[in-house]
Amino acid sequence: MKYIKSLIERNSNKYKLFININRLIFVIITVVYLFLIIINQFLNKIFKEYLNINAIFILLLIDGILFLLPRFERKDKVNKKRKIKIEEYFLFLIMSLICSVLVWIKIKDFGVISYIISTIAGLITLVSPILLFYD
Amino acid sequence: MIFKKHSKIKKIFEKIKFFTVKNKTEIFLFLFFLLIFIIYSWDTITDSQCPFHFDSHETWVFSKNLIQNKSLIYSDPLSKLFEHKVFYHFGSYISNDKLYTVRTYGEILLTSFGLLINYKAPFFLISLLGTIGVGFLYLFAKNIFNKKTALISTIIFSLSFPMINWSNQLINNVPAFSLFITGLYFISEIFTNKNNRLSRYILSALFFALSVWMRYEYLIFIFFLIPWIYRTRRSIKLKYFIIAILVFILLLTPILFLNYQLHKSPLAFGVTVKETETNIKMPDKLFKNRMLNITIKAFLWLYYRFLSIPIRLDFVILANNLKYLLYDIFPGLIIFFILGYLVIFKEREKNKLNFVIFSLISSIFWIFKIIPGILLRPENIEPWWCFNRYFLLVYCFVVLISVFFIFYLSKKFIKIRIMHYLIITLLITITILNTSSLIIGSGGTFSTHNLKKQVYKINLSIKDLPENSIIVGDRRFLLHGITERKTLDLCKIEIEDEEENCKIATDYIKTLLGLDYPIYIIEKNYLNLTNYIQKNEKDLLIKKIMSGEEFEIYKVFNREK
Repeated sequence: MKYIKSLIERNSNKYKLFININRLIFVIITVVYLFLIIINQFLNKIFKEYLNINAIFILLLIDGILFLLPRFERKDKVNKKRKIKIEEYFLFLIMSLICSVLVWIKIKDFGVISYIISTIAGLITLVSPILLFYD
Repeated sequence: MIFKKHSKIKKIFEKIKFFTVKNKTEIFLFLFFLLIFIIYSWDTITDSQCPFHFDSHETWVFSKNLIQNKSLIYSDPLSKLFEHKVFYHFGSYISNDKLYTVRTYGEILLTSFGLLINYKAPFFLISLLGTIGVGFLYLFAKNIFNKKTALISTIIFSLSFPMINWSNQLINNVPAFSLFITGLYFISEIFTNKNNRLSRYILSALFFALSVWMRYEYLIFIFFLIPWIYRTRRSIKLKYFIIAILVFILLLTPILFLNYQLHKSPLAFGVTVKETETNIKMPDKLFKNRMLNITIKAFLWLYYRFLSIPIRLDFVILANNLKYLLYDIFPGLIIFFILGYLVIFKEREKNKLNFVIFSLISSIFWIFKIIPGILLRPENIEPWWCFNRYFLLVYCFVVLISVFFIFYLSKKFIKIRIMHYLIITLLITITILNTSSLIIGSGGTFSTHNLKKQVYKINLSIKDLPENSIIVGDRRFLLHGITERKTLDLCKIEIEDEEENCKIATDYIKTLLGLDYPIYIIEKNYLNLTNYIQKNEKDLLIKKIMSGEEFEIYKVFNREK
């Protein structure tokens, strides 16, 4: 244990670089993984034949553990009073539209109710982040 | 004058704007819970509701019996006429030609209360309790974590498949969960030192007791609170705590009295008596004392039910089944759930840590108890899909801890806030998409909805038939949902040979016709009873009186009449 500690201290710069790279990798893999789950809802044949989503799950788990382990934690400066920018509102809208369309594609056989459910799904994805990020 | 009026209107608008901005989360939640209530009572609102599930049919029969005969024992005088128990076709058990329920008393009392109002009320009560449970989940999460975590976890959990599916059924899992989470909210106020008044102690005891009335396993979860109580013992007022325990025991004693009245032992429940008599082999007479025998059998049942499976644990089965019953329900969350546990254990923040210890013990116990047994395969997952209703509490923990982790991430990535937003949006989208596909697919909600709609129509139509009419059918085909007239289940004849089965059924019909009971057969090429009668029975006449997509109803007459 002492050896590991001294090794980290001796190579602290390299270690910090590794942490920073790992942080970035973790966020990217997380978003990719979530996108893949959505794609899996529509094209699950691809996942059965070509890509094993469980492998990404395990990769993410290992990366997540590495992400949580570091002793040198980098904390970004907190800027509490931050308002949402116009472009962020635009992004929320685009994402909620995508969510609506995806839900509608999934349940279009329901008839009229599919429009109602997909609209509600879109509204929830639009309103909830605004509630969360609007300080 | 006009200017004054204009300024008044402006002021009112400004006040409304101020109120909306100030209480934006509360307004959103109010509208969201309203929406959730509509979704949870969708089958009832769209006139597609009936106690279609095997268990809900039993609840319905015993609740109706409780109103009509003021008894928890059901008996049908016609049952004695026949060799097969064709009138007792639900999950209860028979003793001395009387039927004893295996459903919980709370479930029966709740349904009876609803039935006193009208046909739809019991279903609305379940949906309402589901919505209340989600509301208290928000408050509980706010106490333990924060407002933001509470908001997102409430959205994700309430829109999940198990909550939507089981809030639309007359099944006790959702009410039990809701009452437990309500109790958990009140006790969390004490644990987090937010409100240490006597009312919180009494209310938590009340709701915990009510959850046990609904489902007995919640008593075990209440015991799992002991580590949390121990770790926060300094913030607990001993006097109030003792009062709460006394209230809790007092509220549970009627269950023991009812058990004694029905099964001659306070610790023998309907389900334990049924299973010790049918599934668990043991010597006929352990002791001379009958009450002692029944009590020992109840404990043996507890052993078989709760300990024997974890002792013989197979990790391959466990991992395989976890995929179906946990990962497939929340595909995007499980990874965050695992990492969330690690973060909480690393940070060691008091309230979160205590909650996590409680959730970990409860989840491990419950998963080990329920999940092993049979290796689930994709082709046989459908019949086992109903198992997800037992995991509501575990799902709730999964959602809470994973959402906590997502917000933990946001602290680490303040500069790339857009990523955090993206993760939350994707998770909500995944939840809604997954719920939709489960509702259409293996979850079977959509197909059950359509079947229930047909049975609802049947129930409406048969209301015009004479009061003493008997509907002959098979519980595998729509018969379970029929509540408006007495039903005779051909499945109970239990003879594989179809012709022999039809012969016995025809004899039963003749006997009932002889006693002047109007007889109707519900059929659509799946029983072949009508064909059999037409071909082989010269004394009987049949006539189609109504039909739907998946059913036809025939009236049976004696030819001479």
